[in-house]
Amino acid sequence: MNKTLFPYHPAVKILGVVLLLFACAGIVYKIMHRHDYVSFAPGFQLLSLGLVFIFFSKEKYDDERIHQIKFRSLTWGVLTAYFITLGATYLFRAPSAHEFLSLALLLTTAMFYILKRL
Amino acid sequence: MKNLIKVERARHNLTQAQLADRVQVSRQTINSIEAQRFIPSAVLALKIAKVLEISTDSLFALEESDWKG
Repeated sequence: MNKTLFPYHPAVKILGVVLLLFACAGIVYKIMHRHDYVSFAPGFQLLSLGLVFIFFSKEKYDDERIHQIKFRSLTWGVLTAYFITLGATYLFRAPSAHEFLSLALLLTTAMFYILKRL
Repeated sequence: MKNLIKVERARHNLTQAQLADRVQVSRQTINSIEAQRFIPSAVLALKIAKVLEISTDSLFALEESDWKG
């Protein structure tokens, strides 16, 4: 009985990394050239999509320990992102949905790779 | 939950990687189970016991802390 929780093939991770790098390049370009008519929104849209592909794709050894670690890192990442977003809302401005998703998945993915090595 | 996987593995002359291959998990998973950082599912426990040719009751033992929520 082989249950697959994560739908994407491991190769989709590469697509996720490409999207992530492209998004980061776009955000850096925007900051450096200060084009006020270009918003960060497309950058965060691509960033969040890339992180979805990276986090939700299968690992090389996709066993039950990996599933448990992914779920644990997801609970930690989403909750931490919620409180950071709450603080940012009161201190600066309300982040967009893609910005929240990017932050949550960035924290979650980082936590996953840390827990995986332990 | 205590386990005797390391002892039984040594008895069968298996490395963690070899045991991991046979039960179709990663080497880190076997390492985590031996170090009691991860509790395997019933299916994985049965697979490990089968490969090590021992009953699950002999391979795994409940501890006092396992009874607490």
